[in-house]
Amino acid sequence: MPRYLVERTFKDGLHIPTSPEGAKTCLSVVGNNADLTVTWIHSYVTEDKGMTYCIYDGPNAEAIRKAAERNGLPVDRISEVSVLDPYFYH
Amino acid sequence: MVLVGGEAGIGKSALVDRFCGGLGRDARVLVGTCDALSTPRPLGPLFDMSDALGDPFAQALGSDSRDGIFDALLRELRASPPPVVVIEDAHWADDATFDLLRFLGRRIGSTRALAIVTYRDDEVRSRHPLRAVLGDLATSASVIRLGVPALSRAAVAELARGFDVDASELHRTTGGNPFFVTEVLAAGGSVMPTTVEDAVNARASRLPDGARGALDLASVIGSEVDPEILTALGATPSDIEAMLDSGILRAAGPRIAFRHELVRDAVYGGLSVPRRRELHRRVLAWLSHSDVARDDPAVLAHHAAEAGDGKAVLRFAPVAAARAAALRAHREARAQYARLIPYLSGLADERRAELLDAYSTECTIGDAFAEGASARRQAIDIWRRLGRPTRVGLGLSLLAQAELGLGRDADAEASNDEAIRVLEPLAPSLELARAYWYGAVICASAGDTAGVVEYGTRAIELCRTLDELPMMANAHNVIGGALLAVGDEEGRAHLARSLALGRELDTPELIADAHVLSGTAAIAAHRFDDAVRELRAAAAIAVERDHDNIRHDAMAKLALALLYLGHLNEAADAAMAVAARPLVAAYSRMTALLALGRLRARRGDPGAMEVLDEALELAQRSGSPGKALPIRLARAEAAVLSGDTHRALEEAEAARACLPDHRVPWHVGELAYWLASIGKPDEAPTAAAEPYALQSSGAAAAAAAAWDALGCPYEAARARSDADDPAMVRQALDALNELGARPAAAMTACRLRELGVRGIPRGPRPSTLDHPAQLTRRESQVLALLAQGLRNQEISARHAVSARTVDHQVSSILAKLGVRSRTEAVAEAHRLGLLDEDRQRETAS
Repeated sequence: MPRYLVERTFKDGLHIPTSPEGAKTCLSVVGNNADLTVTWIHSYVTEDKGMTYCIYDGPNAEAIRKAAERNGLPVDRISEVSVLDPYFYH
Repeated sequence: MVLVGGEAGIGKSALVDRFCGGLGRDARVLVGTCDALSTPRPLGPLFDMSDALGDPFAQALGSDSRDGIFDALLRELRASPPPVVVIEDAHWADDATFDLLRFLGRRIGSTRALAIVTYRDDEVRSRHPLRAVLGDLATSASVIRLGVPALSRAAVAELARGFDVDASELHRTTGGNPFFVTEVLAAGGSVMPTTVEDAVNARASRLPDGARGALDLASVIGSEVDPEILTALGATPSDIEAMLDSGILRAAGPRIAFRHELVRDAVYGGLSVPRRRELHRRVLAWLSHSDVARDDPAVLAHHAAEAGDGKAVLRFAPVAAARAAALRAHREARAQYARLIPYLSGLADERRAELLDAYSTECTIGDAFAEGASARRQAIDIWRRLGRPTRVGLGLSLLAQAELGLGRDADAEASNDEAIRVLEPLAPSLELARAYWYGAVICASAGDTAGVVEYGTRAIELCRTLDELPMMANAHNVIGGALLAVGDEEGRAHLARSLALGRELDTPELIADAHVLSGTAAIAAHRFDDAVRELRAAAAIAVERDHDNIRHDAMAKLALALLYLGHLNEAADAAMAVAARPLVAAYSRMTALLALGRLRARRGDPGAMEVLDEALELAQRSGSPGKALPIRLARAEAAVLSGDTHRALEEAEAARACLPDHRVPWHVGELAYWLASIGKPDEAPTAAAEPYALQSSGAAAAAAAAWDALGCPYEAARARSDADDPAMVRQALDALNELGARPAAAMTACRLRELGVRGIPRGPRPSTLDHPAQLTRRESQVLALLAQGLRNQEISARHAVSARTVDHQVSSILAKLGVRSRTEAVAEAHRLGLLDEDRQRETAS
């Protein structure tokens, strides 16, 4: 499955509490994604929580957008990416 | 409706049983199970329930009228008290049952009944038909999904209490799968079995010989077994006792059932191939003399195929196929016919040809065109040898349909022409009328309106003579659609006639076809609201009638119309509904990919050119030149939006090359637009559609208003973004951002900056092939040499001019590019695309 980088801007900042509530939110995201065969790998969040860069596995960009819609998440840009790390050529 | 998903053995049925058990004595629970047969019995679960439902339902079930059966079920759901309907193992359901699930999911909200559907979610991957059903049901408010999780380590430990077993290892080996856990615990022994099969076989090996043989037999019969069959085939009562005692089988009412399907799987899987065949043969022999032979030919066909008994397959499979086809379980019908293929050579020619024809028809309905074409050709050969020209002619015309579905338009035309040649010398026939009609369909596909009218009229006249109204309606459909597509209002009269015939004859497929053609014509005329209305109507009928072919076509075109109306998410859904399916007619797939490609390009999502590549390939494979034109235009758009002006020019020129003689103003206009935007404007496009004409004459506001009137927000914003008035450009930017049209928004933001407006984020500059920096030809040449690292002296030697001249030229270059050094000049030149090969060639001489 292709891997995608999803850039999101949160006008009011993304605040997920480190509580059972927060855990529930994350799990419901996972659940909604699963319905669309989309997997949230992890995200990078900026210091001010205004932007996130999220790594996803999914069948296509449309599924990513649908999952975002179901989870109430904004989408600025979707790019298809592949992983490269320093030891790739070792 | 509750969809209960989980891996095999996770406890879905146990959960549902416990729930139903707790409902109280008055509750009405109706249970139906889908069989793990290779070709399941159509609507098998409903047959399971019919005993509990009484006579009226049983009658409806016996009628072979699918709509009647579904309506009867709905009546039962509305009865008092409202029942709980359980359908187990939906991943093994047949086509008709999948439609039943869709039907239930849509209607159950209007009843007070509860439907529970269990399925193995790990077996339902992307191409499984249940996945499509789940997708269709996902948006229904009355459908809930429930996943059954595995047992936790603590839970496994609890189950293992009192057993001499390491709970952690048990949890690890079994993954927390309850079935596996209980099997391992029941197997006992010192070594923990590592697989379910091992665990089951360990338990089974402790049975006495006679019981073990009976167990093998039971595994062949099914997950639920009538003890009568077992005893008839040699099992003794003590054998059956032993099996029940061991817990491998349990009592289920009058029958005995495997503890779990996985157990049956494991036992069956342990049988050697010869033993399996032998057992299937014995079961088949017994069943052939029972009522089952009459009631359930699918089961007999299954045993016959597994037993390798050709005669029995030939006896039962065609019956099963016909039954399935009547219930519109087309995949099952196709699979039953496919079973016959190894045994066909034993048949008389005529029977063989008939079965091949029936198989081919089922293939075509399911969009499995390659198998359909192959079978059809074999049938045609036989009919030819038998000297049956009418069947040959019909076969050839049907072959053309499969070839069109494969996207081989030229082949389809050849086959259909041959059909006409074969049929014309004979007495007037429906087969000939059909061939004329299909000739018109092929012409419509190629955009040959005159051909459509000619063939279509011949079809209509012949149908009038023969009084064949349904075929006449088909002909009116194809003529109407073709005329409307070129703006000839005559077409409306034809479509009205076919709609009237469709209603009179009560043939929903005809009505759906007419709607599709109306919708297609509306798209061509850019009347997108009308198009959406017509295509949605067509899709609704196609879903009801389980007609995948019409449904895919309607959805693909709907995607296009929604895209132009700016409803991007809905357009994506419609396009993906077609593009994600493995078996779809080539013409539908092409349109869906076209819509998806434009959508991705406009959003700036990955994969735009990828799907347009495939769309182009499909268009080119058809051998019909006009088909590529809209795709070339979409590719030009994608190239412009990704900043690849050279590619855009290539695509625009290719588009120009496939403009037909009868030019569509919308195509002409769009082509002119792309050429202008990459800096290579064509001669004044006189035949362009109004909004494009306004745009090319510089009347941005008027053009935008024209697009607004058509309901096209993207095109309107695009037009506004070309205006000189910053307020209008700002309006465009807001609209594009709202639509999520990232590339166009970025270009518009850049334009706003150029107009001197502050506070806009930087974006990529639109590039043109003409020098944005307005360098002279000489200056371009000098710049190229600078890029190669030459110094002023070397340049003056190369060009045979004085060093001072070169100095002036370099200064001019720096000023025009707005930089302060040669290095910056070269960098800027790269950025503006001034240094690539084409430009080098242009400026060199």
